[in-house]
Amino acid sequence: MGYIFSREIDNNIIPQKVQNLVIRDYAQRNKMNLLLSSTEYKMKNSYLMFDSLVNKKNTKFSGLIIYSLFMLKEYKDLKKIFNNLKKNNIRLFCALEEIELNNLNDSKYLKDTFFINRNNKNEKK
Amino acid sequence: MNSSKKIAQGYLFLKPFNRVYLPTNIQNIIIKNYCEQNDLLLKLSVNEHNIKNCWMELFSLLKKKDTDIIVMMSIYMLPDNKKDFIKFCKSLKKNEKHFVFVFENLKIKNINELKNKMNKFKLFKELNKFI
Amino acid sequence: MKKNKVEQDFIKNGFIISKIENKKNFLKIEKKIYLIIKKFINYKKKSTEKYLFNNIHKYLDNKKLNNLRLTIYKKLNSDYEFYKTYFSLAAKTIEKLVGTEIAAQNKINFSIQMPNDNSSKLEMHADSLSGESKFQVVLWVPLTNVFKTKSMYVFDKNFSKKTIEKLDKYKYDGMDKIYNKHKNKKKFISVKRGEFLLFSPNLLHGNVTNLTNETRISMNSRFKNLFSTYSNKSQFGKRIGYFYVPLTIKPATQFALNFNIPDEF
Repeated sequence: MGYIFSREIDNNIIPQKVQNLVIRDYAQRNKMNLLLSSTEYKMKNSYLMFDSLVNKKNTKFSGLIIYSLFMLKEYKDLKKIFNNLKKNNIRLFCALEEIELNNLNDSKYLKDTFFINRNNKNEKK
Repeated sequence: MNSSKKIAQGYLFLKPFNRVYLPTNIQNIIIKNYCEQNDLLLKLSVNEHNIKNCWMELFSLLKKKDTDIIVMMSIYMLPDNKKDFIKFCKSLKKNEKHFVFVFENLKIKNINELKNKMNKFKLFKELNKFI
Repeated sequence: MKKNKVEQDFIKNGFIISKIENKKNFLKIEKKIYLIIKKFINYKKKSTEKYLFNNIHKYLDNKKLNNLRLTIYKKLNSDYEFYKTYFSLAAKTIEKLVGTEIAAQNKINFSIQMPNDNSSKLEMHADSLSGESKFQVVLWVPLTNVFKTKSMYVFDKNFSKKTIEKLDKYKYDGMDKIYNKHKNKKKFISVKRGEFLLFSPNLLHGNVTNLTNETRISMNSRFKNLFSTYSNKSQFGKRIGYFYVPLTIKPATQFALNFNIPDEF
């Protein structure tokens, strides 16, 4: 299953069809069967769609491909994501960065990445 | 068999265009996808330099004899100041290339068509500031 | 090499060549690539890695070259920590040049240049012109001896500096005009198997059609100080997460990660 944003990603507009193309390309290269993508709501900090995909067991898909790990930048509790992924047996892939995020160590990796990026941007002001 | 296919070359832009910034590998995926769907032979894409008001590699691409079509994401990647745009048009007139702008779904075959579309999309850009 | 010679040479020339620091990891990578290539081209004879790497062009059609390169790229980078293995090939030297808190490019690139093949030609460029940080170093490791047209070339520090500063002179012409005018100034870098090249991507560099009768396979990746700027402007593309990953974070930084100091009330 794909997951795309209808709002900006890290202050950047990425057209939805571009996000879809990147996800589809990643799925093809990694020999995954891709269902249609889910689109997150436009509201700031909304993860309603994302939560509905990872918070419960699903027979239709076993993996979620999101366009970029930076879509999770505003997610309040990163550890909760990985606990849910494990509980519901869902794998999480980031198409742009070409990585899989699958355990609690990765929540720390995300936190470090967001911190360093934010720090780097602040120094440019 | 391949000699009947037109030869396309991608042009990758590292700066934002009309508020969109796309990593170059994403631009490559889009260009490759377009060429496959339109039966074009794709050569290795060219990266523009990450310098403001620099279209150096675009000018170089115009002069390449073995490229028929230049494929890029958007018409907004072209020179956006009068001086550079005039130079660009002069070079295009001499070298007769076709252009594809994927986002706007445009296929441009001559300079007059390009000038018309440029004016049209400039207007859209201005209008979008107010709507 | 003497303790400060590495730093001095790098500051003077913008590049250094030295022996691989972790021979065990180098041999592991070499073996892995050898087996991938053997399987891809269905090579059943007994041979050394050296023979196969130098002579792939005898067993592989040009049209399949990019598929082979992507296969090697995908298989090696499927180990998400492969960048750490690659870093170990020159870890101490990289630390001397960029510091001990390091960001690494998240994928290792592979390049295969067969004799007389134009498709792998890389025109003269400087990575810092393409949105990559000017503060990084490129670690370039060939799997066989490379020399002359089998290798890459660089232009020296002074020429690179002057050319980049006056680039607007060629605004309507392109880099190939600069190259054609000054190509006699380029220098091919000779590197032996078991050595690495570390260079600044501010040096103008590239490669030409390989006119030798041996194929070149090489790997390359980028390393920079974690907190040096990621490009002239902060952009979505080449920064931590998408292009780079944090490789080493020291305790002070690690500790600071726990604190969210407010920007405003």
